[in-house]
Amino acid sequence: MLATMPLPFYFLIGGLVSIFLPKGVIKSSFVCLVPVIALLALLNGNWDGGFIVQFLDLELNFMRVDKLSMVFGIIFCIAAFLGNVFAFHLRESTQPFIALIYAGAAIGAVFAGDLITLFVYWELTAISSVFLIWARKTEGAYYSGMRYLIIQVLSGVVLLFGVALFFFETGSISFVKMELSSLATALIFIAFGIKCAFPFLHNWLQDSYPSATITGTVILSAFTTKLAVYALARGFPGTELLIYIGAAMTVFPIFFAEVENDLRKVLAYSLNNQLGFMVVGVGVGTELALNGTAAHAFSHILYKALLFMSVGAVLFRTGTSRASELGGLYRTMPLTATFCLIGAASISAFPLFSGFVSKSLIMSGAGKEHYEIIWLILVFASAGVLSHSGIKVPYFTFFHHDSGKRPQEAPMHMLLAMGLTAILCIYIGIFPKNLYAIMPFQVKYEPYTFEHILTQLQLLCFAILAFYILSKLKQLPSETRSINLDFDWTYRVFLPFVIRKLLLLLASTEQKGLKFFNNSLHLFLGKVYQLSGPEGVMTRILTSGTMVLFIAIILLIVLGIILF
Amino acid sequence: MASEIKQGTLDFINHLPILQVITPMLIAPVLVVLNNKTLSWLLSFVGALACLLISVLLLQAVSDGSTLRYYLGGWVPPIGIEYRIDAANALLLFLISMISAIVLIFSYSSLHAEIPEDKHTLFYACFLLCLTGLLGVVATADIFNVFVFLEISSLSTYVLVAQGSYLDRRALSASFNYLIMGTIGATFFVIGIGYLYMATGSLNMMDIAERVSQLGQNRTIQAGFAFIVVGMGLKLAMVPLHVWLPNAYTYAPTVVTCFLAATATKVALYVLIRFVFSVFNYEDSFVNELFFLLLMPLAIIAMIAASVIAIFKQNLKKLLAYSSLAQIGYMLLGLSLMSQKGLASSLVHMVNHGFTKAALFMSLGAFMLNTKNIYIKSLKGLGKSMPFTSAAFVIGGLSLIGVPGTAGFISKWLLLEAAIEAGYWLIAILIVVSSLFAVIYIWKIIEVLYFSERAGSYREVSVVTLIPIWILALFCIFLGINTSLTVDVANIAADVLFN
Amino acid sequence: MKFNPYLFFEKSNRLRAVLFSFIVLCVGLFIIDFFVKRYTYFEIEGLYNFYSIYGFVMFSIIIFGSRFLRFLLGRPENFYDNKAVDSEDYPTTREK
Repeated sequence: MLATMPLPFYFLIGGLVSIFLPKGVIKSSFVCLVPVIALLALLNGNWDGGFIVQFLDLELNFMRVDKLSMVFGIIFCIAAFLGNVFAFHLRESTQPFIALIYAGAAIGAVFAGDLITLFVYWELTAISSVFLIWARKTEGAYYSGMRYLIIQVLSGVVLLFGVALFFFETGSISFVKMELSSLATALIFIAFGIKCAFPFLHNWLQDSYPSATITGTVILSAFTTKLAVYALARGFPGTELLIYIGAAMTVFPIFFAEVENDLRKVLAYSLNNQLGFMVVGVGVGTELALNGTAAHAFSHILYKALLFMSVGAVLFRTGTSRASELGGLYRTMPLTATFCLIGAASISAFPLFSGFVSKSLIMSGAGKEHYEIIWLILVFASAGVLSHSGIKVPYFTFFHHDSGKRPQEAPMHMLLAMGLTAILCIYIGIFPKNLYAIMPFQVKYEPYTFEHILTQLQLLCFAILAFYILSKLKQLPSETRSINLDFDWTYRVFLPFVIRKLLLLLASTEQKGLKFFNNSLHLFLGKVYQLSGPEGVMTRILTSGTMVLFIAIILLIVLGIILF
Repeated sequence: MASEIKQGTLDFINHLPILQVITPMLIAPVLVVLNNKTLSWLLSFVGALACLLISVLLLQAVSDGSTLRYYLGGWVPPIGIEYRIDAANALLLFLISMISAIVLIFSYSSLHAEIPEDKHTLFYACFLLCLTGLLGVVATADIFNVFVFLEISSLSTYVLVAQGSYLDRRALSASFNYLIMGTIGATFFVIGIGYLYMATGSLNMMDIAERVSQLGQNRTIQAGFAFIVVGMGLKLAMVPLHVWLPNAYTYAPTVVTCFLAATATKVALYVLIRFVFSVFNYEDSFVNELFFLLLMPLAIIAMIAASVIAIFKQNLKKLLAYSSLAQIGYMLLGLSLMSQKGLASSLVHMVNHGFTKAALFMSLGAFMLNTKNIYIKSLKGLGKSMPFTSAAFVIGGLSLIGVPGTAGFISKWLLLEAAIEAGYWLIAILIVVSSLFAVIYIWKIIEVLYFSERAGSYREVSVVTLIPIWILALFCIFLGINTSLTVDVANIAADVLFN
Repeated sequence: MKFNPYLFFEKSNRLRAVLFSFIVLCVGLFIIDFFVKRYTYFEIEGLYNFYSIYGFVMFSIIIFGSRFLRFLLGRPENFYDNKAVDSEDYPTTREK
């Protein structure tokens, strides 16, 4: 019975159970245990037949397990486990519960074999995850969460539209490879794109992740966007448009990340940049590139979680994640610093770290298909990754000038979570074969060739050299408490402004029009009936007498339609 | 035709159609005679349970697409009155009896807050009469009988709405307004019946249908149809004939609001459906034209406009009343698509919305037991202090929006399917847009419930109050997952009505 | 105090030694490219020390480009007023 239960149910049931457990060690251990059990069930279960459910006249499949969904299922379970270990200190009900529901929803969406199931879980990820932002309980977080929720739910609504259209066009709801040729698939594509933070649809990410709680951001960073990558890899592999979208995604966040002050926002931009690599991989669509996307998503979830954890631990101890307020923390937080450096090395793709073995799959995927410009952009973006995630985050937090802060080392459970994640990052980097073994297609790629190591070191070392020289010349962008406008300005400032103006305009015209209408109506009614009813505007106009008039009019219309 | 009558193993089953209607009717006078508060509640509840049992048996008997016919007093139609149960009205009978039973559980713990104790007996008697009327309208196949039962239910409804006056005097004017409107509606309806009788000389639905098809184009019948549509349009609160509804729902006691919102308008809509399909010929051009040119636009206007108005309402009962108008729009839209799918979606939505709205109004009622008023501000922070009621409200709200996994999703999905099947893309989009408005006004309430500082210290209501609320809330979820009760039966009903 | 390897580098000559060896490594990487015949996807990739030069130049472009971006789009922290977390402090008391 247990083994045949769809995987998300473990999380959903676990989440519900967790509500009733006493706050503290018991609850925290329980929420760590649930992903482990689910992972075991996933690996040991027999999922050949899927999990078919009949709903109305539709056949739903809750568990479509193949190699692609398996990769994402495994890493989502691991990420849920690590995130919950990191959040072990929480003594509240909402966040542990939401973390499980959210992870379960994401896993459910990954294993959804049809578009309806996908939609349901798609919306559930949106609705559940927003509580991780609201758990911060500040006004800023409330508004930020609201924006996040609206955009995420919008993605779901667009998806539903697309799915409905798709169903009526093809009569099928199974979630398989689609062609980007009709309105239906275009809508589905856009829905995926919103969650995947395509350019101009991306701001929810940088807006919300820094607004969540310390532990919430770690959980958030793993699921939503990678779910979208999975959905793209499932639905639109080989769609050329994705290559250009992905390339754009790798480039523009670099500049924003470089001048952003809030380190969690830096990491959010960096996340966007990393998604770009995966999207390019999906767009190229060859076996090599799709393997690259899956592998990169796998290692990316780990090192990005590690980075968010280390910055989170700093935020936990110092109360700030602003680069301008931090620096020199290596003195008292050496372990966190080390883990951060491991994460930084992984994301920058240093040899022996996980990014090195996964990103290169995508790069050679693009190279093999002769996308020269794209390839150059990706190499550029690799240097960019180094600039913000590889250097900026650890350097300004733990080294650089002394901020005077002497916080304690991170608490034990955080160190444990970071340590485990760091070990996984290095393990993947050193033994890539084990990662390649679970990829959707057979991997014939060998990352550790002399020339690959050489070229990568050349790229990275000379970029670091540039950093060193520029910092000596005092040319680096200074850390000041400031923000930078992004596309979200349009809907946070510009649109509200326009709407307010329009409403004012509308209100004034409406006032005039209403006055005119009221006056004439009163004149008319006053003459025909002698009515009174001091009961507010609505009822004053619509007394029984007026209603009778309405009825007569409607009757006339009905008779007119029927008889003539 | 006698062969159509189901020969059950029990003779009893043949009498179910009439038992369904007269059970509450017979209990009502007994209550008045006994004149004991607790006893009358108990008897009403037992009566409602009996009705529920009967309706379940009936539903089972006709769920294979067959028809139960009952000749009152053994008189064979068209001379005698016939009761006729098929899948369509069995579904409605089930909804009405179920809601009445649940509402009566709720009234046990909540009624004293709204109505003085010495009036309870009369209240329950009236309630049972209203129930009788609604059940009778649905069960009968005699059009004059429809009118009679309609009047029984309406007259008792006016009284029930007026009972709200102990809390708010405006209930009286609301009830009076409703009385005027309802009476005009009933008059129009009876004029329509008169025309039909004039042209065909019969009152039995089947009989009229046969004669109508023989008569062909006939002005008298068409005029009759016009009067019936307008009369029923009033009763079902079709925009713009809806003005009685928001006030009546707002100022009536919660128990009454729950019951009316879940059943009364649906019964009127059912009558319209029944007339269109079983009395007139739905293929006639005048029927089609009317639906296409008038009812469909009105339904769409209701769907959008009422939802928008609901967003701005501060009085929560009024907010839900306007949302009811929008939901009636959905049902009318499904009907006016004039397709089997559309009709099925309409029937399913009747049931689903019945449970959903009852759940919402009832949880509001529970809030009201504490806060004493129903303005949105007074709910501040109740999510914490009344977690179970609030959770039930959220479930109902989700179902109203049409979130997957809830009842509302099923019917909206069916309606979307039907609209798209008929090729009305724009309408499909409008349906979704109107759902988005629902998101806004439900969210508004949820936000106040869960994201505001607590306004006062309230305690969760008693378990007896929670039970009916949660029965309804669970129904909202159950009907969203298991669709055999609603969708399958509705499909059979649509099939029966179309053929 | 527990063992902290970073403190080892606090003396400036040790750090300088690290920097020196890093520059030696860079020079080494630059020279070694001359002797290695690399397999390439594109012609440009095969240019002498393509990766070194590309990395150096692109990193500089990123730095100057982002400074230009800040010049264009930089705003004070409270630009979005109270509807953003930018200017508020993390509510530490709740988590500790």
